Amino acid sequence: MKTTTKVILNIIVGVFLLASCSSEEVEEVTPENRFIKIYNHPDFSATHYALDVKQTADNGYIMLAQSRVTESDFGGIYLIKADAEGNVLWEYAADATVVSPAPALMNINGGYYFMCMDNTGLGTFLMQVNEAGATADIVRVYPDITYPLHASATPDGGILVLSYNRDRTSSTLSKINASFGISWQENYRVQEESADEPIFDHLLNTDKRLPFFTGVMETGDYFFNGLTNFTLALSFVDPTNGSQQGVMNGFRLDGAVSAVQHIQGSTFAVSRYTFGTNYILPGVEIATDGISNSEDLEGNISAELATNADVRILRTTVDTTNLLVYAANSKSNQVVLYGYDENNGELLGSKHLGFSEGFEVAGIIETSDKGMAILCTTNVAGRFRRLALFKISEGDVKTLAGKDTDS
Amino acid sequence: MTTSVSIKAFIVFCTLYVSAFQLHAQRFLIGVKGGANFTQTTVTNSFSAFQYTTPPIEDLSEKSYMSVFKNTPGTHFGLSATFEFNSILGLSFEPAYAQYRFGYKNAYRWESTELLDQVITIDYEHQHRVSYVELPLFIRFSAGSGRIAPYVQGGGFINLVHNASKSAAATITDQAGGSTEALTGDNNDVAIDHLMNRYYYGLAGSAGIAFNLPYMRVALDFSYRRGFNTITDTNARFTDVRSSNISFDVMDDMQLNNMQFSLVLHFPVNFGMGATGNGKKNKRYVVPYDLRRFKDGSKRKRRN
Repeated sequence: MKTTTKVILNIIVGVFLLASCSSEEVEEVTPENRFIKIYNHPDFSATHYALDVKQTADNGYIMLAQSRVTESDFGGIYLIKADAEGNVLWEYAADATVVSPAPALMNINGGYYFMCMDNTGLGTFLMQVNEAGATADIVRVYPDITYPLHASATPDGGILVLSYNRDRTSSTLSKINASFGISWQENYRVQEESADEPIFDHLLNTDKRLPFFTGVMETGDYFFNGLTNFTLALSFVDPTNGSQQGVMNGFRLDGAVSAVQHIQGSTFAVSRYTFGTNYILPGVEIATDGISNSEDLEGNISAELATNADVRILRTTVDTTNLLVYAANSKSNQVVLYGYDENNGELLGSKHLGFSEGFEVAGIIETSDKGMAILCTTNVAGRFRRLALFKISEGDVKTLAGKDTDS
Repeated sequence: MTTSVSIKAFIVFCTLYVSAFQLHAQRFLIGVKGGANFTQTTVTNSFSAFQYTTPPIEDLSEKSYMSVFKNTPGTHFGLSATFEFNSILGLSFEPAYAQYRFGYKNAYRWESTELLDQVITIDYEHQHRVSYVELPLFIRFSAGSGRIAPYVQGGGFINLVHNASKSAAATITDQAGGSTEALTGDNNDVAIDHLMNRYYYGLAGSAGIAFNLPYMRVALDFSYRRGFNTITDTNARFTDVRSSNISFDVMDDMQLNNMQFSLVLHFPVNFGMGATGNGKKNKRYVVPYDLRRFKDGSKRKRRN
């Protein structure tokens, strides 16, 4: 019996020691490097629609959103400043004199700027986030820029603004210089008779928002995705005067490019949709000085993505891997991140964010700790549209890049 | 790392202690135990994925943990091996499988600033079930070896998580939707093993009354376990996408204190404890002397 007891005891001990000896090296998680924050508001009538996020010098976050205001059909300006752990430091809801904030939130010389619309005159305001005062101040007024749709910072400290000119029925690209004066404006005629309708559906959030965007290539050339001729088209323009150098047409509003990230030369990371189907193209050649059609671009069909999904593309480097991160809305109402190898277009990893209450991506940024922050719109309790900020750690990003980590 | 080493040391210590003393025990009892337990939570750090940007008129979202006896009782069952060096001092090892249950309530309310009847309140009741393999080791002090012998025990425990789950039941009062009464909402039940610390350890003590009967000992036992480490895995807290759902949320850092009420049935084992007189140890079960004494005493009483 003594021997039997000893054997049994030794087996038990062996099992437990074996269990306790497995020492997995896991990434240390702090409140800053991985969190989920859903910014709830107790007002039943409040509606917040996320637009963009930037990380601030103090490692906190500024989030730009559109909110429902009773005095205007256009959405109002809503800002949240959070600390490095995502905790709210302040929120700001502007009065209805300034409405329809346009993505994106721009970091220019350490200040955070965005464009929005004059509710009365329909012109455009350049606003600067006042972190100390927990507000946003008007910096400049541009009466000739109406219905701002998107803005992005240019390397020279200026701004590229895409807007809509209702009188001329045209998309307008405006180059704002570093002194915030207008350098040039160029109109791109929209031939579609009912061009106003999709613009207003987009601005009023009464229908699917359209993927309007502007950007700068490594060569310094500009591009924008906006209505031109009969389609939602990706146009490449001369940075000195805005003249159109090339265009990639879509198919009316049913087929278009949904996101673009310039890689080098004529190579781009692209996502596009056509009649609800989404394509992901991690590396594709586009003739920036000719006419082409996005319908001709071949790529990976992503059956997981929602109809005409919102997509954002972030280019980063993880160890030695040049990584393209696609953030997009999925049919399961989550936000899915796909990590693609920039060099060969191979899908390296994926990650899903959000659960059951509906999440739509608004912005994705790389953070100072080599992680990422993803701003989304969600429906709290399945009802109330609010902002959600996901912070993923460096280990999570490495997993997305196909690196083996225990996080 | 320190925790891991401590746990290993504890396990080795338990084994060596049990192995060593078994050889010299005056009495070895092995048996089964089972009963109900109640869990009390001590939150050290509270977390939530949900944060108000503007404070509500009345903040109902704070997690309100239920008091110990308002928590649903859990159950436990297992083995009990007791080595008694003499009629006072002993050592008891009581491995068991135990389910701890605890819960909290919170609620969210959205009220319109424009229309008074636009109000919706959702009450959530969160219930957690954590199943542990318990490995407690006690030093036992008995008050004599009579027919009724009170005892106390003190020691430590290590629990290993076997599985864990959480359910969240919603009750919705949707005035804006035309309801005046609380309606039953969703009830979701999900596994949360991956959000738990693998080990849970602390100090334990127990007290009870043992009834020495012929061939067996029956004891009513009350034990209390006070945990030292948080049961949640802080690294895993925000890894579950379901945390972004208001009915799920994230887990707090918390320690559990568990009260167990058990019925213990001990059977004395006397292998190898008495010499047969021929130089060989017994290979058959022998009724320990003092228990046999109770049996003989009963017979004598009947004869008289």
